[in-house]
Amino acid sequence: MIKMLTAYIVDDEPLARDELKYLLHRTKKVKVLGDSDNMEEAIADIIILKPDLVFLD
Amino acid sequence: MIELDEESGLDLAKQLENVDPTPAIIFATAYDEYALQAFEANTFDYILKPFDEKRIEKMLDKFMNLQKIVKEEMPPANELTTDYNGRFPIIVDERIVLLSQDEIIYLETSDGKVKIKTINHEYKVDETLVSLEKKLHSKKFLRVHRSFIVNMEYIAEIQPWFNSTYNLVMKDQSKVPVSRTYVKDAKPVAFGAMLVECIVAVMALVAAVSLEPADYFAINSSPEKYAELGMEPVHLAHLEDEVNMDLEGRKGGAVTLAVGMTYIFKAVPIFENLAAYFYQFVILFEAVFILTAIDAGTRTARYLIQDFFGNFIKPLKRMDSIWANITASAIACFAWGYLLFSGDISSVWALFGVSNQLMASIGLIIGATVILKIADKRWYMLTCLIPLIYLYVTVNVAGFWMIKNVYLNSANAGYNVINGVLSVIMLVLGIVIMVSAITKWAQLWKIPQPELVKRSKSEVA
Repeated sequence: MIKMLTAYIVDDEPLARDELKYLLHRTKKVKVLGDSDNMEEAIADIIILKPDLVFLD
Repeated sequence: MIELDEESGLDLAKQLENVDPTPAIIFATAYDEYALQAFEANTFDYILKPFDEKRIEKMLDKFMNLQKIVKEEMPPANELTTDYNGRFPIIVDERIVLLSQDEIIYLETSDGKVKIKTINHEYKVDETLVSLEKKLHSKKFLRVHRSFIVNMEYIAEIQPWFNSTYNLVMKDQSKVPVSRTYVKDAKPVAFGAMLVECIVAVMALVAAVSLEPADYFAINSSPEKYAELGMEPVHLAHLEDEVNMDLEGRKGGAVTLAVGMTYIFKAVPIFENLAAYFYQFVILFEAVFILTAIDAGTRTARYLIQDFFGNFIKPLKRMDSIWANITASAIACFAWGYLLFSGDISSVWALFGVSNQLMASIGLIIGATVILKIADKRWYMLTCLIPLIYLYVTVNVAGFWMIKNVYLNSANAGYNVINGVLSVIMLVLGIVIMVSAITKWAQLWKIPQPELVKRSKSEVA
């Protein structure tokens, strides 16, 4: 079993975040660890969650 | 939009380069004009909205291939950053200093350098806060602000500041701000403390109702008044024997709680001979509880003294001066002492009761306001309002009765003008808070609930 990639999404539009989350989920290769609409929270989360990928708007 | 808040996604991408492990950055945006800049900022990929599933798959495959190559080529590096017995190396003036994590009070970034404040030293190092943060493996360290990391063991006090932010006072008296984003990490601690308080309150209620009413009144009224009630104590004589204490006419909640808890505990088979032990244990437990209240009260008094008298005597206002702190603390302690000296423990006890009930009222007022702001239905507010009405009415009636019949009645043994004046001040402040709360509720009430809930989401830290 291949280890899933992990991702974090930063976007100020909730709809865009959901859309991306859905698409990533469908690939079955990526687990989305979290998302945020502001930078400070994003940085704090990324430091803690250590995702492989960060999607930025 | 590439503009997130005031800062751009590009800024975030640059900041993420300092994070370890550095994540791969993928811009997912509706605009293509930033692509060039984005790639300069070490971006892995750039995908355009609307999203295309195949494009995302392709990007993921590319990433996984790259990851495989990187893993094969680079064996795990033997890092200098691993902690040996909780110590970690920092470079100060071209020397390597091994710093013990336990000695660090806090870390602060300023002018591109990080200041590390320890018990005995201050170091300036050429590293980012982010890279230092990952070296601090201990769970004791908490990022409380964009430019501050604190060692939680050195937090002495948490002071509320403007706009629902907080200041931490460290044990060396230095102050550290907590930004709103990071307040959320401190919240579980506060909620936990509140839950413990609630458990104690429920325990006290359980203890009170588990007693026979006749026993309850025997403990909580003076022997003369009790005789008028015409009640017969049920288990009280037996309990008195078991705990080896006089229990009749011991007003105030302490004895009731202790007797109630003893009554419950001794029903457990293995504890049946330990009644005296449990009674004293609960009394001790309450003493600790009250001491924390007095401790918190003294600290608050100290701040008020420093803040108010600091307007006239400038050096007193300096919160970081140990002499100002000691002087203000001494004044606060003297004031406590004077209250005790001018009356006795039972007169202070009654004042303490009034202030405690008023504090509970304030808690319920805040609770009601929060519920109004965040709950889906307005009538949920009643969970706070109903106890508030009961509490507020009883404390005001009792407070007024004490002022009129005891403190300011020269014929009464408890005649004490200071206590009377203090009670009046407390009740008046209580009324001011109540009135301003009601005005606030009236304002909030006019705003439609969904709008209120939406607003509070951005407001509540």
